[in-house]
Order: sequence, then structure tokens, then C-alpha cells
Amino acid sequence: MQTSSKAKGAMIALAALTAIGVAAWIYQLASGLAVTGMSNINSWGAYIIMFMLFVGLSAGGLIVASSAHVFNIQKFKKVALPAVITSTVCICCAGMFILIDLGGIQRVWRILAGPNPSSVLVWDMTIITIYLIINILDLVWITRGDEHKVEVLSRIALPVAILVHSVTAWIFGLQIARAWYSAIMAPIFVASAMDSGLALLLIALAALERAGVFTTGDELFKSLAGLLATCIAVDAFFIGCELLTMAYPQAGEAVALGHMLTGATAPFFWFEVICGLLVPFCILVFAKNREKRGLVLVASALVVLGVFAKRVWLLLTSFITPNVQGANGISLGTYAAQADAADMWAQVGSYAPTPIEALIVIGVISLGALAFMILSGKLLTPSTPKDEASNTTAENAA
Amino acid sequence: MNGTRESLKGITRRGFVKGALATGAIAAAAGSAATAQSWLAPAKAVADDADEHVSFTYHNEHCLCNCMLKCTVRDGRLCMIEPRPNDDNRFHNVCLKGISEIQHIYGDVRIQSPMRRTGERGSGEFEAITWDEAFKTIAEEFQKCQKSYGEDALWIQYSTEAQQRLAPLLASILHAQAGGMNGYDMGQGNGLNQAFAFSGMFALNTMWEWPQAKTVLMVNCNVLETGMMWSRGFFQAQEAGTKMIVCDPRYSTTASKADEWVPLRPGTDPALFLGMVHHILDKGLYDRDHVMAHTNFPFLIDVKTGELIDADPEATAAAQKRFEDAQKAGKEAVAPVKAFMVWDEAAKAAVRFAEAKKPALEGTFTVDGRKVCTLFTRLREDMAEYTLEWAEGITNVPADQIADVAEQYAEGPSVICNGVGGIDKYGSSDIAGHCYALIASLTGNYGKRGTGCGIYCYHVTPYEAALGGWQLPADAAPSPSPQGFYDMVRTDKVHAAMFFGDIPTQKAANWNKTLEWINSLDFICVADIYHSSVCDYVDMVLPSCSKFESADAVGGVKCANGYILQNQKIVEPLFEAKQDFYIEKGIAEAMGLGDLYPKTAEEYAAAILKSDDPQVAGFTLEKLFEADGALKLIGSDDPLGPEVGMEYHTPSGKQEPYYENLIKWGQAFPAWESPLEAYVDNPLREKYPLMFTQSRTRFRVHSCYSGAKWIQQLYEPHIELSPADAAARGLANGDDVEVFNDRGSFRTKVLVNDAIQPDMAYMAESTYAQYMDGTLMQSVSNDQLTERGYDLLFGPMIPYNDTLIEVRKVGA
Amino acid sequence: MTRLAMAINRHRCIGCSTCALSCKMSNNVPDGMLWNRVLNEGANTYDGAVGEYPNLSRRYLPLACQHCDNPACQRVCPTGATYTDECGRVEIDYDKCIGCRMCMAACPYNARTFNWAEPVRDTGFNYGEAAVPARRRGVMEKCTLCKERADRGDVPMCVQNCPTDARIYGDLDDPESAVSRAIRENNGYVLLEDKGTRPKVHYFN
Repeated sequence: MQTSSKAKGAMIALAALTAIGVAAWIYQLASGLAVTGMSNINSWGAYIIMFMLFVGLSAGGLIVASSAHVFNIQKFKKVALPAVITSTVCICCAGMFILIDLGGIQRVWRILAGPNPSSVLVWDMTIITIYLIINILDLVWITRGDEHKVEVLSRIALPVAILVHSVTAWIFGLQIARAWYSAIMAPIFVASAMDSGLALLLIALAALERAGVFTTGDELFKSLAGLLATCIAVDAFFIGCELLTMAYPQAGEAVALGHMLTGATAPFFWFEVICGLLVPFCILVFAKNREKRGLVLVASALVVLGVFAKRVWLLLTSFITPNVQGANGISLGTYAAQADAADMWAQVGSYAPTPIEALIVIGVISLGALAFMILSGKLLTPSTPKDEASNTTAENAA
Repeated sequence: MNGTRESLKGITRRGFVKGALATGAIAAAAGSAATAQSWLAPAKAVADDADEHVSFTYHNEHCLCNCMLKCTVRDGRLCMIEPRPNDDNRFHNVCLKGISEIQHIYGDVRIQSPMRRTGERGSGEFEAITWDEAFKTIAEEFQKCQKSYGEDALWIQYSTEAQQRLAPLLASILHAQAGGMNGYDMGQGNGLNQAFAFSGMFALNTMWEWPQAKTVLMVNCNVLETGMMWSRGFFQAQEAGTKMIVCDPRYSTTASKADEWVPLRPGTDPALFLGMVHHILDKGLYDRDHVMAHTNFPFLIDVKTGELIDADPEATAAAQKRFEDAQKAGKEAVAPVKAFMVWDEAAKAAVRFAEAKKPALEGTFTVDGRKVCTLFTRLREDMAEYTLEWAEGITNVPADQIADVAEQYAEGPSVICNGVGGIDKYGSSDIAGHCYALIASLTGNYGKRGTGCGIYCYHVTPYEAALGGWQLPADAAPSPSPQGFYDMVRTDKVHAAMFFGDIPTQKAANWNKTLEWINSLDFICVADIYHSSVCDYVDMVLPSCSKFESADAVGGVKCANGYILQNQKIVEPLFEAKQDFYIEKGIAEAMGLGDLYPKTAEEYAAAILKSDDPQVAGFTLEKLFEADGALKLIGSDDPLGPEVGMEYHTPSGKQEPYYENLIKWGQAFPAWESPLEAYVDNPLREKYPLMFTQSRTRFRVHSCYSGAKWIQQLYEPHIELSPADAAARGLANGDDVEVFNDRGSFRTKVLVNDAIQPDMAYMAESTYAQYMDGTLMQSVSNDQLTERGYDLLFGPMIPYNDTLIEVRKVGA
Repeated sequence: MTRLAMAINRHRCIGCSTCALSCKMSNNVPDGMLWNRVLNEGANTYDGAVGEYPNLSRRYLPLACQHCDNPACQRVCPTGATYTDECGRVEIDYDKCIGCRMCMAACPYNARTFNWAEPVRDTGFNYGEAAVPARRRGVMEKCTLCKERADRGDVPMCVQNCPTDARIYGDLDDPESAVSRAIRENNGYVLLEDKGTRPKVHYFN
């Protein structure tokens, strides 16, 4: 393998970034969440954004792999294993982000000791655990070639995957306090999971093929790209529904909508709408484009970035305008608030991640990428015929 | 603790706090790393097994000791302040400033040790010294000064900013000057006192009478921000149906809670009242029966001179001579009174008032070839020009509203409740007070229940006990101070000075003038609790104890709110601070005069309680301890006290709103006079268009509490402008601005506030220079004194608010 | 049953923040945060006003935990750290709090405050009621209705110290209590009624 030295280099770099991330996390543990950009007015930030993103990213893989078995789509079966690897790695990353976000991780056992059944967070922890177990079993059984077990598992996996995104959505969508409060939150999360997950899968497959670890084949790649276009459309439709519902009465939710359209979160909103939905859809809707791997990858990358942007605006918009407004506003509880009275208050929510948060996020992503590389290297074999592989190479060269 | 202050110099407050925080964070990190156990330990009560006790005191001299406090002390530290339980809910008081002391007394603005200046004046460079060095130096400087220039060349003045638990003795012992006239807070009193022969300051009845009033007119009084304890009186009256009308250029909290707000232009209160008087005369709304029975309006004056006619001028002249002779001989004497005359319509002649059957209220007559008229007739003539339209032009209050307020007030019973803000700091403050007296006597709104004039919102009980004091040798007394601090700074008579609290930056306007004077002194020393603005400009700084610290079990006693209050020791003196009493005593000892002092503050406090006043019969320090630090004056159960009534210590015994002694100033009846500087048509407004008002706020008392972190969390110094004025200058909330005029400038932040009248700039008075980039608000304030002021009871007033300024963005 | 509650007379509230600092003192609330704060509703500066001079209004709004009968914060808490006690007060068991801040997102009133950093006190020592538990970094805190004071029969510190007697405290389940009467007689209302949280803190005037 001619790329192995490159791969080795990449792995060392990723390991280094992971180590830096771990160090940053230890610093955060020792100092408290005050080292982040969060505050009493904007109480969730990068970690929850990445949590939402990674739960979604993990979807594409498992849904493709399970669909292959449930609906007996033969061609999808081929990518089942890399799909499940992606899914497993992403859900682990999501779990890590949740744990990193906890202020009192040393007391996390309390969830097991006395879970509150009405808490959506408890639901989410439960469903994510189940989801992770399914992923691992799937991984084991696919590797062993235990087709029957995989088929049975897939029938459970599909609804669980849908539920994982729904429950994650309900963490937000069931909060009457915020602009998140909307029945369409779960469908949107599922749709975003489908498109971002598929997009990530496409990127992963292309990378594996490039590395010579696994060959997907053009036909399958094309049809997955077609599926992606459909998912983007569904996602866009749901978002459109939500926007109209927010906008039409020109009442309560208009404030949040204002922040999204022209306010602090507008860059993320418009990035998603244009670069995350419109552009990739326009690329992928044409069969000719779907044949060009480069274009498909660009579209996929845009979809992932678009969904990231969506997580940003979706989370943060609700923190901007408090329900009960007035001077001096909300006492922030941050380092700055402790140090100087002038920085104690905010009337409008704002958030920017600190370098520590960035390092931790990069560390988790690096660890995920590293895990993906290792798992792929161990579990995948370039089993496809030689000619197809050379075809692909030729195409890429062209 | 030595040297802490120096180490603070050179780094900003922000920097210091950050440094402290970083240290804290490291300690925290180390702590959590070292004891993983604490991660899992259950949350425990703050102090299960600590040594905790409760003591009682009162707070704060600044606001006349409205709050009796119960203080919880744990492990020697003040950890909780609550109102002392009191069945009388009116005296169950604490406010945010009292609470903030939990942090404030331990805060980084405390002066921690005696310090001697090492750098230039104003540089803020000091070295820590011992108390012995400090006392020795001060003693030498005082002796040098008094030997070279006379005893009265030494000035020792006290303010409530320092500890001030016991009446000072040092100035008396050294025969130093101890400060003359105040120059503030007494402007309206200056104009109000003559008519009813009281101080003109605190009303003789209390706010608990307000529910009996139909209308309370609040002028220059923002009780809901500056006298929060007495907000209950405001609301109690309002809920009883009394209409509260507030006159204020700014939409203050009091204005916002009032039934009606009169948004007059700053400094135009006299015009508002003159317009009201005109309307009352015009519409016949005055109380004729009251005017005839209880005022001197029917009295006759000489039309030409304005002097009251005397039935027997020879007898008066002779009595005057006897009076002067007696005075010269140092004997007790009573000033003579004229034999006032009225026009008797029955007799169709001028007769002595007592002999008149049917006195005329109005008319011009000829008596012995002299043209005379009644005061009422003179009033009509004097008020003729002050039409509602004229008043509207000056005050910018619609004529209809002025008429309406006048009618409501005249209907009565009505109260005029004045504060000591706004007009009180204008050249024409006495005219405003005079107007209150005039309109009240005209409409019968003085003397009976539910009426009155004066300050109501600090002094809420009619009871006051006469207490004893420490016996000094017979000749111990301060040198007479013919001048107030505001005048002294213009002279070279004083060569050394000591201040308890920051007097120089607060009791004189135009800081640059004051600074020149400070720089002319051979020696100047300040004792203060906190590093107030003036500290950087003096030769020696001494740390006073806060009001909660005492070396003795008792730090002082006081009569306030109809109680005798005891200042018990709450905590030991912090840092190296000493009580004002012990600072004085230390200086006296260094000068060989220590024997004149009580041995301890407690001994002094016990001496103060020795009094013949039956209201405090049997009151001792022990009794006060038993009673948790407060004993109600004996016989003070009736909250209202006796009715003020219709007999006064005026020459005629009646209400006398005509001030004969002010004829030469044209103010026998109040007459409109523009403010000295802050008026609409002043050509100076082309350069400095904004009228600058300073006033009190709930967040501070003068500059005190500027350094209280808990209060800083709610409020930091800033100047406020109307949106229009801010926009015209390109200013937005939070911008750093320079405020300036020909006298000087200072820097602060700007806030844009709709509550501010256009053409006006508003700022809470006084803060420490360290919170304004080292600059001082008093740099711009007006120090022009009116000549008329010297003829008034309390002397001239410093026209702090009679000031024009301009504001620009720093760096623009 | 007992449902401890408060009614706040907004006309009597003069925005002095004595309640805010009293609460801070009594409950040992560290620097940079407050359990109880006073807002100038709709204005962007503390002593600002709403409208255009001279047609102005100003309304202060003291705001802390509303002790809802239907507490959104309690429903979402994964560990049951937030609970309603036998007197109807919404309380936090600090030992159970894992610092997920779900409750903070769920509270419509922004009533909660989190220990993002190691608690710092400028005094350098713990102040307030000895019985109040010390909170550590990483846990949520908020108004407890002065649980420790109330449990020994005292009223909450904000009620005791309010200079205008704007706060009335008592039992909602007792129709004759001062708080029940104040709400009934003055057409009391709750904040954000449409959120359905059913606060026990009422306002009137």
C-alpha cells in the first residue's frame, strides 16, 4: 500500500491532536466550564452543537446498512460495514461531547442511581446506549458474516436510529421555554441526520477508496448520491415548514426568526440554506453531476457543513433574547463576571467558543478520525474486483 | 499589611482583580487535583461548627442613622446584616448599601495602614508608616503651623464619610478652626426659615401625617431612591388616597411612582411656584380666613421703602438700643419688635394690629402723609408679571398643568416636601424655599394637620433627646470659623489641615481651585475608611475604622429616629485601622494633651448618656445591651406628636412670608432670578449647551460605597444624556466621554436614557477618582457664590448644579 | 398541604435591589451571579425609562425562581437533583446535580445560575446563613425561598429586608394567608402564563 506512510503520518498527527484535546479537557475539568464561552444566558455551546451534529452524522451509516437488510437492497449491503464503522465512531464522538459538556462528571453515576424517567436526557442516554450496542453488534456480526443475525438486528436498528435523532431533537423540541419548542424538531433532526450522515458516508467511502482500503464502485456511489439529493429535499421541506410557521403570525417567534434571518445567527442560517441545501441539491439533482465524484464530494462536504451551521443557529438563536427582558439583564457567572462588575451582566445572549473548547472539539474529532482509520484498516478488506478499482482510479485521474 | 497599598499602585483595578483571580484559579486547580475526595464529598452547610454571635449597631451617619442593624459575626468576620427586629415596622430598616458592607469593609479600597506621601501631590505614591510615626509627624506639623501662624491657621473638619461615631474633640482642644457654614443642603431652608421661624430644614411635623393630606408636592426630592427607608411613608399616603405630585426635570423613580409628574426645566422651581401663586391670587384660591387670622398679609408697609409700618418707631428705636447695649455687655436680650399696623375698615384708619376691629386685607392708603399698602396688595403687584404663560416660558411646563397643580395645592390640605437636590444647588435656592413659605401661608397649608413645608424624608420622628458629652476644660472650643470651606479655599489664612473623610473634593466646587489651595498648604492629612479621591493629594493618609469596627465593646451612642442607639463592637478593627476617636486621641497624646480625652470610646459613650432629659432617664450602656442596642425615647409613643399649630417665634407670632431684611436684594417677596449659569438663554450655551445636574442615588451616599463591589455589580459611574443629545454628539451607550467646560474636565462613561430631559446631563454625585480615570466630577462644577447668600441664615450655597458643560467622545 | 409562595407588589418596587443583595448575602451567592435580580422591564439601562420624554413609564420587575407548580426544570433534570419539596418549593439537591444545564435551558425565566468556575467571593470567606450548603463548581443553583430560614420559621431574606414591604410571603393553600389575599384582592398575575409553568411567585399592580 503506497499510502500507508501517508496514513501513518495522518495517524500520528491525529493522535497528537487527540492528546492536545485530552490535555485541554483535563484543564477544563480542573478549572470548570468557565474556560468555555458559555454563560448563564447562553448555557450550551460548541459541545452540544457537536453532539447534535455527530448524532446526526452517525445516522447515515446505520440507516444505509440497515435499509440494505430490511428492504433487501443488495447494492447497499456492500457498503454496510464501512457504513456501520462510520456510525459507531460518530455515536461515540457524540457521547463524548455530552460527557465533556457536564459540569459535574464525577457525579454522572447519579443518572444510573436515580434516573428521572420524565427527563428527555435520560431517554436520550438510554436510546444512545442501545444504539451504540446495536452498532457494535452489527459491526461484529457483519465482520463475522452472520447474515441472519444482521438481518434481525437491522429490523431493530432502523427504528432505533430514527428514535435516536428524535429523542435528541426532543431535548430541544420539548422545551416550552425556548424557540426550539416545535413538533417538527424531530422530523428535522431525522432529515438532517439522513442527509449529513449520508454525505459523511460518501466522503468516508471516497477516502477509503482513495486509501485503497475499500472500493465502493461508481454505480453505488451514484445511487447513494441520488439518495442524498432526496434527503436534502426532505430536510429543506421541513425547515421551510418550520420557518413559515414561525413567520406567518408575525408574533412571538418573530423575534427568534429575526435573529436567524438578519441577526447574530443569520450567517449560519443563510450558509445552511444556500450552501447546505440549495447548492448541493442543485448539484445532485442532475444525474450527470452525480457521476462526477468530485462534484458529489463537494456537495457532500457542503451538506455536512450546512448541517453543522444548522446546529449552530438552531441551538444559539434560542439563547439570544430572554423571555423576560430588562436592564441589567442576566448575571453571567463567568470568569469575567467574577472579575469585573462591568462584565457581570448581559441583556442579549452571545457566545463564541474559546480556544480550549476548540482544542477539545478538534481532539474529539481527531480521535474519531483515528478510530475510523484503525477500525477501517482492521475490518475492511479491498475485496472488490481489480478492474473496478482501476476504473475508479482512471476516472479520478480524468 | 504594610505596603499593600503601594503594591496596588501602578496596576489598574481590573489588572489587580485579574491577578487575584488567576491566583484563585491556580489554587482551585491545585485544590481539586490534590483532593479528589472533595469531588465526591456531599455539599455541607457553610458553617456547622463555627463560632457565631450576634451584635447590634446603627447605620449610617451619612443618612442620619435610619437603620438599626443586627449583625451576625462568624469566626470574627461580619457575615450577615439584617434589620434589628422592631415591633414598630417603620424602624425595621436596611438597604442595599447596608447589606453591601459585608464585602465593602473587607474590600480592596480600604486604606490599610498609615501612609506618608513619597511622590508628587496627586501621584498617589505613598509609603506605609507606623501609627507612632504618623502621630508624631502630625503633632509636629500642627504645632509648627499654630506657632507660626496662630491657632486658627489650623483647620480640622469632620464629615460623615469617616467613622464619626463620637463627637470630635480635637479641634476644640487645639482651638483650631472646625469649619463654618456648610454651603449645601440648606439652600431652600435659607428661604423657608424666616416665615415660620424654624430652621427651614426638617419639617416640624412628620411624613406620618401625609395620609391626612390631599396632596403632597415633592420638590427636589427623590425619596424612593435616596431615602428608601421612608418609601413606606410615600406609599402609605398614596394608598390612603393622598395625591403625590413630583416636580423633577428627570424622570426619577419617585416621579415614576407619583400620581403626577411635573417635568420642569432644571433650576426653574421658583418660576413654577411664582406662576402658581399668580394663578392662586388671580382665581381667588387663597385661604382668606387663614390669611386674615394667621399671617401678616394685612400688615401695612411703606409703599416707597417696603418697610413694615411701626406704630411707635421711637419705642422700637429705644428698645433696639437697649438690645444692642445688652449684646455688647454679653447679656441675654430679646430683639425688639415693631408695633405692626393694619388698616381698620371700621375705623377707616391705620391702627395697631391688636386694636383693629376689621383689618383690611387689600388696599393702598395714606397714613401721616406716607403712602402705605397692605402686604397682600404688594404681593398682588409683585406677582402680576408671573402669569401662567410666563411660567410656562421659563419652566417649559404647560400653563394648564401649572394651573392644575396650583389648584390642587390650594385646595389642601397640602404638603410641600422638599429634598436637598436639584434647586438646592443653584444660586437661587433660597428663592425656591421662600416660594414654599409664600404659597403655604397664602393657602393655609401650614400649621394644621396634613399640611407643612420642609424636609420630611430623613427626619421622621418629632422626638429628639438632649444628650450629654465629654467634659473638656472651659476654654476648649474651636476658633470661630467665619467662613465655610468653600470660602476658605479662596484665602491664604489656613496653613495646615486635617480632614476626617473626603471634604475637599465634595464640600467645594471647581476642583482646580481647591487643588490650588491644597497645594498652598504646609501640611494636609486625611483620615478615611476608603481611598477616596482626595487621598492622592495629601501628605498623610490614615486608616479609619469602618462603622462596624471597634476596639471597645461600645464604639458610640446616638439619638436618632426617636431612639437611643448603641454602636456595639461588631468586629475588631480591620487591617491597622483605628476609630476616629483613637486617631484624635493619638494625635492629642503626641501633643501632650492626651489627658483631656476619655480613656476609651466606651467611657465617652457612657458620658454621652449622662443627661437630665427625662426622655432618656435611666438609659445606660448596660440597658442598651439588654435591649439589643436600641431604646425608644420615653414618652415618644405617639408617632405624630403635637400639631405644629398657628403660633410661631416670628416677630408678630404669625406666618410672615415677607422678608423685610431682603428688601435690598429685591427678595422681600420672592422674585424670579435666572440661575447663575445653567439657564436657557445663557450665551455660554453656545460653547457648553448642557445643563449639568448631580444628584444623590440609591447606590451611594456622596462618594461612599463607590468601592463596594456588590454595588458596583449594579451600578458604575456614568453620565446620562437624552437620546437626542447623545445622537447629536455621536454617542452610544457605554462610550468613554470627556465632560468639560472652562473650569476643567473629567472622564466617564455615557449612558443614553429617555428619562433625561433634552439639554440636560445627569450624573449621580461624586465617586472616587480611581473609577473615573483619575479625574474628578467637581472639576466642572460652578463655585460662584451669591452675595445675597451671606445675609441668609445658612450662608451662601455652592451652586454645583448651576453648571453648563459639553460632552465629547474620548479621543474624538 | 402547604404551598409556600410570594406575591410582589410592583408598584411598591422601587428598583433598589436591596432584595438582590440581601439574597446574595444570606445565601452566600458567589461573585458574578445573583439568585434574585431586579429588572427595569423593557429598558436597556437600569434607571432607564420606556417611551419618549416626557411621556414615560418605568416598571421594575424583581425576578428569581418562580417556584412553579409545573416546573419545567424539574421535568428535564436527569438525576432528580431538582425536586419539589413538601412545602411546594422547587429545590436543588447539589449532590445529585451533574451540571448538564438541561434545567437552565428549560427554565423560561432564566432564574438559574450555574457555577461555571470555582466560586469566588471577594470577601475571601463564606457569608450568610450558617445552615446554607456551600455549592461547588459545576452545580446549578437558584433561589430556594430561603429554605433554611423558612424551615425555622423566618421569612425569606428578601421579604424581611424589602424597604417598601413590596414582598408578601406565605401559604397559597391557606386562602386567608396574606399572600393568598394579596393575589386575590389585587388581581395578581404570574409571568409568562402562556408557558403553563404555573409559578407560585405572583405579581400585582
